[in-house]
Amino acid sequence: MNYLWHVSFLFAVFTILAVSLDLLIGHLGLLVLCHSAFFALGAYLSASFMLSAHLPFPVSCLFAILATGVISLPVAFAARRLRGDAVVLGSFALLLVTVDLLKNLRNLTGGLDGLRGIPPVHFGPVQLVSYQSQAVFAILIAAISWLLVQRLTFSAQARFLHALRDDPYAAVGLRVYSTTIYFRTFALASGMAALAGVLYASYASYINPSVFGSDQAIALTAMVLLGGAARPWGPVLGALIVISIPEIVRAIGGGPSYVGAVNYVVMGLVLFLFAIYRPKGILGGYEFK
Amino acid sequence: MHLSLLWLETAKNGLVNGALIALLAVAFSWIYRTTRVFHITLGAQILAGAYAAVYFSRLVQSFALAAIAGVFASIAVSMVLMRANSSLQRREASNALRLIASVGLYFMAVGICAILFGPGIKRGSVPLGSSLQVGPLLVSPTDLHYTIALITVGIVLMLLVRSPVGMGIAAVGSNRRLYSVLGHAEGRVLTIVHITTGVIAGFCGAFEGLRNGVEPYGYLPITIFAAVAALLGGRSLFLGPIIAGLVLGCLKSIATQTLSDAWIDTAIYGILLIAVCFWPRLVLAPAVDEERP
Repeated sequence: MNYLWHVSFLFAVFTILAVSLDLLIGHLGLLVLCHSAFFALGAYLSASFMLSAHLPFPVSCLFAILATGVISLPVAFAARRLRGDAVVLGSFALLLVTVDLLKNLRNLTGGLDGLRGIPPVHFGPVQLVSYQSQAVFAILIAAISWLLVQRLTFSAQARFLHALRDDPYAAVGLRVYSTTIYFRTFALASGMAALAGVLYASYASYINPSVFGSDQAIALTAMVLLGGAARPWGPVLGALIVISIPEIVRAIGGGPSYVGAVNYVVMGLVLFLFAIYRPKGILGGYEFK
Repeated sequence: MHLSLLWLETAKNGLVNGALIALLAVAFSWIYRTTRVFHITLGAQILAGAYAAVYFSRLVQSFALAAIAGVFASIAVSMVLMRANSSLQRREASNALRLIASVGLYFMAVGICAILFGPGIKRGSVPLGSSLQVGPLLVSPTDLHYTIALITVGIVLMLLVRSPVGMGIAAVGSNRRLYSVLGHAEGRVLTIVHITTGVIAGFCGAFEGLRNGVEPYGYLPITIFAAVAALLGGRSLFLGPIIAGLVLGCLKSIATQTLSDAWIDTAIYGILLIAVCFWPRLVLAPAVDEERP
């Protein structure tokens, strides 16, 4: 039973990540690969606040989200100037720099050994220790995140987002304030990714840079593109499929290294087939041109 | 060690590292300038060359035959990639989609190698030979091989770039539609480009595999290094990537000498990030038919 709760927890965390990344990929039209950097920042910042400053979980969580949101603003500013492959390449470089910094700033991040003994989610005396309680809490947060994004995507704000995505020159000509919209969207998406990181760090109680590397970024991108970008259930379906693949491989008897390798093949195949045959994803979302 | 000898050693190591990056940067640049695919799958070509060389060396115990096997394996992968790229081109996929497809193919190649050969390091069984004393410097066979290879490839490419084939490659890179409209065979140029990059990547992969061993997850950094050198080399198909690769290799060597080894990758990725953010059109150099009106 614990195994099912564990998978449910992972599904919830990756749903938050996929839904937030969909804001950037599907609604803003930016194929960014640096989302797992925001995920990492949330996890590391909250773990550091709790371990070094001994702050309670809610305060650490809030600080981590705010700090990641602020850090994302220069990224938003740079992304506003870039299009197409420059966005993909720049965001990938940012991810690589972030992961390398996590490896090299040993005094702050523990280097390759990572951070251990991260306290679980707690609100005063109430601690969420069991698999079940942590999974239920994460599912609740994922549901709220999904509703928040849906509310945003059916608002007037979404029309500005889509205008910037579909024709940035015309949108700016019609006085859509692109900088403000980019800042807001990046702050929201990165804040949600940081929240997922906070939940993950407290659940796993141990984090290291390898969790947030390029394969994670590819998996997140695959979730959004596979399900269908800018569709309400697209990222959720994508997260469900991508989370299920390694579990199915494990269930049919593969060892840990075999599961990792099969995961690489499947992720790669998904991205390649997506690019060739189904640029709109399973649910028929936004198509990149 | 005497200070001047130390710097001489640093310069030698820098040039050898730079030679590897420069060769791969030329391969990357040729694919990128002609197909507009940000060629992350260059890592898969290197991987194929390295695995073929390592396993073949166990069978034949010959360094040259193992290297040739690596080159052929890499050319085979290169031809598969050409088919994949032409599928994307037929569907008029955007550059971002082609990059995503390229990343996907690289991940598939890594996963397939990890399944077939296991995740650990595999080593060849051919001795590379003994080192040579050249003046005050000790030159290893690998250093010698890279130097000879760089000079050879450099001369061949220099001749090629000035030949009708080279002109064709430059023309496809600049304006492929016009090149086709004028009745030239674009497919022939792309085949030559893919075979050439297969030879270069296979050669580098074979030497890296026979020198350091091969493991499936280890070739992304060198591919990114090559990409950075190719992009910093500008629109040039030959001289720019070669110079940028050599400069990056020397910087890497100096950084190893003066800073911590761990920060070098960060610095290279940082250069890529800054270059893309501040000079995207200069770095990514869109072809003439992609320029906005």
